[in-house]
Amino acid sequence: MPDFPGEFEQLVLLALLRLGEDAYGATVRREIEARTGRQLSISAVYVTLERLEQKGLVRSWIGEPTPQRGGRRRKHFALLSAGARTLKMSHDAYLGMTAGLERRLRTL
Amino acid sequence: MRRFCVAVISWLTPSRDREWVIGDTVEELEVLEHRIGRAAANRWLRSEMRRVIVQAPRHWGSTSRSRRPFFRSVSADVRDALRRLTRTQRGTTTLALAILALTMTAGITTFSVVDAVALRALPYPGSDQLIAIGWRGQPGGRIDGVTSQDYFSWRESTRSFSGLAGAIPEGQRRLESGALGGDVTFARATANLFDVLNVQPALGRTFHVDDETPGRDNVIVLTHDAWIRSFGGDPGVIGRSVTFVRGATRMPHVIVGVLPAGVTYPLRAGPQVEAFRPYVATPAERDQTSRGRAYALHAVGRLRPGNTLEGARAEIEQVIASVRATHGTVRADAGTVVLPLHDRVVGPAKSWLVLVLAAVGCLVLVGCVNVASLLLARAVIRHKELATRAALGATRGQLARILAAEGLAIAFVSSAAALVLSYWGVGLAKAALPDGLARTADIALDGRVLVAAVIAAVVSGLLAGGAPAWRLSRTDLFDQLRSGGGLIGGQRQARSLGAFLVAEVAFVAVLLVVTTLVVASFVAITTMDLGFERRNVIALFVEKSGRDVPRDQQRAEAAGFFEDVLGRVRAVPGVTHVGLIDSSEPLGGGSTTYSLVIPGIGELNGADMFETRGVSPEYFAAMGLRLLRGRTFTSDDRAGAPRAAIINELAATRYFPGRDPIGESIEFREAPAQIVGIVQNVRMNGPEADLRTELYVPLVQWPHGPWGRLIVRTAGAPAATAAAVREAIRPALTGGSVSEPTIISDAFRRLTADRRFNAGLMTLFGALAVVIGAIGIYGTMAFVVAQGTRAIGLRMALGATRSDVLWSVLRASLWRVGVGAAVGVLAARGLADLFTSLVFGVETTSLAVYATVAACLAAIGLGAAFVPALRASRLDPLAALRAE
Repeated sequence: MPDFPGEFEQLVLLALLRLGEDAYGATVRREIEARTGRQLSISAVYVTLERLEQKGLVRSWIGEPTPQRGGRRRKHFALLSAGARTLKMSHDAYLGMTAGLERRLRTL
Repeated sequence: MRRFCVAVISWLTPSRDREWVIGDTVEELEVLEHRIGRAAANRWLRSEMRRVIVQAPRHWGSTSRSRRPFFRSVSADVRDALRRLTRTQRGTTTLALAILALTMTAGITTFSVVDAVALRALPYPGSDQLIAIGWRGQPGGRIDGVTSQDYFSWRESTRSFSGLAGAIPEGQRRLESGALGGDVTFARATANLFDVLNVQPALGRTFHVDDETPGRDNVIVLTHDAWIRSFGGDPGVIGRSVTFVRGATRMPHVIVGVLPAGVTYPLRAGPQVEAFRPYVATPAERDQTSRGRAYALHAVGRLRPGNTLEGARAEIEQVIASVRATHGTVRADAGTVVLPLHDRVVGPAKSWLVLVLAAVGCLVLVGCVNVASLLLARAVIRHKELATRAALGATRGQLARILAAEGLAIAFVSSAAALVLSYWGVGLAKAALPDGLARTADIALDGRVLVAAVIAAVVSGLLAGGAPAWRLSRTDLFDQLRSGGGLIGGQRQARSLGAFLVAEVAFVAVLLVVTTLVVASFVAITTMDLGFERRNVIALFVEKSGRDVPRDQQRAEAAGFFEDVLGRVRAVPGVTHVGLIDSSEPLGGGSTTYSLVIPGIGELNGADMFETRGVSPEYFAAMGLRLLRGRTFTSDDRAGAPRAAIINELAATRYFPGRDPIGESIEFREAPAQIVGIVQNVRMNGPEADLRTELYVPLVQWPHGPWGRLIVRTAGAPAATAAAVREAIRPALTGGSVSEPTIISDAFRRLTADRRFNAGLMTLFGALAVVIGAIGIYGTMAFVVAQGTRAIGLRMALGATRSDVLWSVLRASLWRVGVGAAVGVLAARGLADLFTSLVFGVETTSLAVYATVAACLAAIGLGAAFVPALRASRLDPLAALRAE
């Protein structure tokens, strides 16, 4: 059984799930910041994405250079099936632990 | 600011991720700018930079698996070190950080400036083969352009150059092209200029020989700057028709080319040339017998392979001689200089810029030695802690690493601070640099400099941390632990601290000697008697009408015009005296010389010629020039009256030794004139110009025409009167002009700006060095006293008085400072000969300078050691004996 991902890793995996094809550093950062209000740097996103890649949870590929980035290329990321399983596992665990506590959690 | 933040982020991001991280950052910035505006986007970028700085160790630490443990442990070490540094001995840490950051900032900023202005090669391929030809009006003076006549004679007859080109700066003009265009600084250039410079256009073409044909010369080559600024970097600019506007003249032109970024010519002080038009010489400009000559053409040649500068120089001399032989002496004396283009551009500034660089190097050394001694003292105080670590199983390598990590941490933090400070420092330096430096526009924080500075910081951090680590590894740590105090080991460390102190004081001494010489030179120059009173004087050039009036008529009009103008100016409130002169203004850099005949001596020619000025009677009063003997001119010295002349003191003593020149008759411009007075010597071109023999003649007896330079002495601030004077003159002019007034005291400030800047900068460096040095002395002595507490207690118990103890500490300080000062002063004496040319009015061998510096250092040594000494003398012997 694989390890549970860390909390920030979960956020990044969820962002990948949401973004699908359009996932790369800037969009992942924007997604997390918009949804959680957490300020984070682009390079922090890459550090985590690379760790997830080493764990075999995501894969990456390098795109074409685009003019609005000053001719620089993008590095895209996508969820692998192992990543999807891990995400589901931790979500299940979360749901399991919070089941029946919803009302109390809201009033905390 | 944006570029700076992105550069920092890029620098802190590992290269494997740099492309996408920077790409994402740039993209995000765009998105945010659209969504929340530019200012908010910039705020985001700044906070992103801060987050990246914090994040950097993790990002670097997450490099591929094989490197991870090492990086992680180093970053862990550095983090631990930072924690230790911020928790214990915060004062020492802050001091070390501040000293390193300040000295590094001074170093980075100075190097960026000196590199851009003086060291970096010119932006032309093969620029070491480029030779400039200039004209120097007087020895040691400024180098001006050459005449077009000379240029054409050289171009036709020399073989040393594969090409000889010329350019004449023509000032700001307007370009109009629909909504685009703007004010652009122009130069006219020969068609071969860009071939000689070996510059290929970025767009379109440069000039062809055909462009030099009258009527086909309406083409323009833009510099990259002008292309971006006035035409928005539009590639379609080639072939575009523009209107070239000069005053009331409007001429259609076509843009044919754009130069690569950073290339222009001539490289000179002030506004850079931004666009070029072909130079089409008029027949008069080619005519070797022409008398009207302008020294305005910047000549540049590329040496043919195998030819040398000396060869080219000899050839040029030859051409000058043969032109003179064929066409007679058109010019008074030779002043043509042939020199590498780089020297022409950098000029005399190079020597003082290099001096400043050397000084800042000295300062950085002082800073590094100081930080090293601070860290060493820290390490000694922590002996017990380290011994405990060793007892618990830490290897010596690990101990060394702990100490080195502290050095590294200090280096990192201080170089980050220095980076930010130099960013502002460079901006500040650009604003404060004196005018008259070329290439100041190129000054910027340079990547190489940053890298060098960071490497230097890391090395000095490792050394500063490593030196104590190395020393520690040679001491028996268990001994330390057992002995329960630092007395024995401490004294050994104190010896190396003493060596650091000697080195530090020596560097400070060198710096102080140089500072003293530079500042003394500046004081000598500003307090020098110029022979005239430079305060409250303005000069303005007036001209009654255009010069197309026949010469005879002009001469006839002169006397009446002068009287009219002088009368009008005299009536202006606030004017106390007003005079006229026919040559260049005081401190203006020009001079007019004439040969003359002195009975019994003969004709004085060449270097013996007199600097000659036609003046009105009141000129002497207006300039504040003192009459030594005889009389000045009066209104009786009018045209037709016997010709009068006044000479200066130098001429009187040189040519009339032992007799009274007054009443003697000389021959000036083939007519006799009687010497009626002797006035004091004047340094018309500033304190650094040599004294010349001078001759004054009444302007109305030698009229050129109705033009001249007014010298106005005012009762109060000259600026206030200047405008009123101009207005008063205007009605007397018919189609002529009156120039902007020059305030002579301002001209003097400009003339001495180099030295003022230099003196200011050196004072700053000197003061920094003194402060840092004093901190070093204080720190070392405080450490020696703290380590010697038990010994001091013992001595007091054995009968030493408090003053004995006080003196012994002061003596210890003085002794080391004395050795350091002696070494430094001797070294400075050896180095002083390298910059004699920068020193003025004070001898580099002056004993007073060295004695002053030594005395200064002794005082600092005593002062800085006094507090620790006092503390030692107030020790309670019993408590001291019990101290650990």
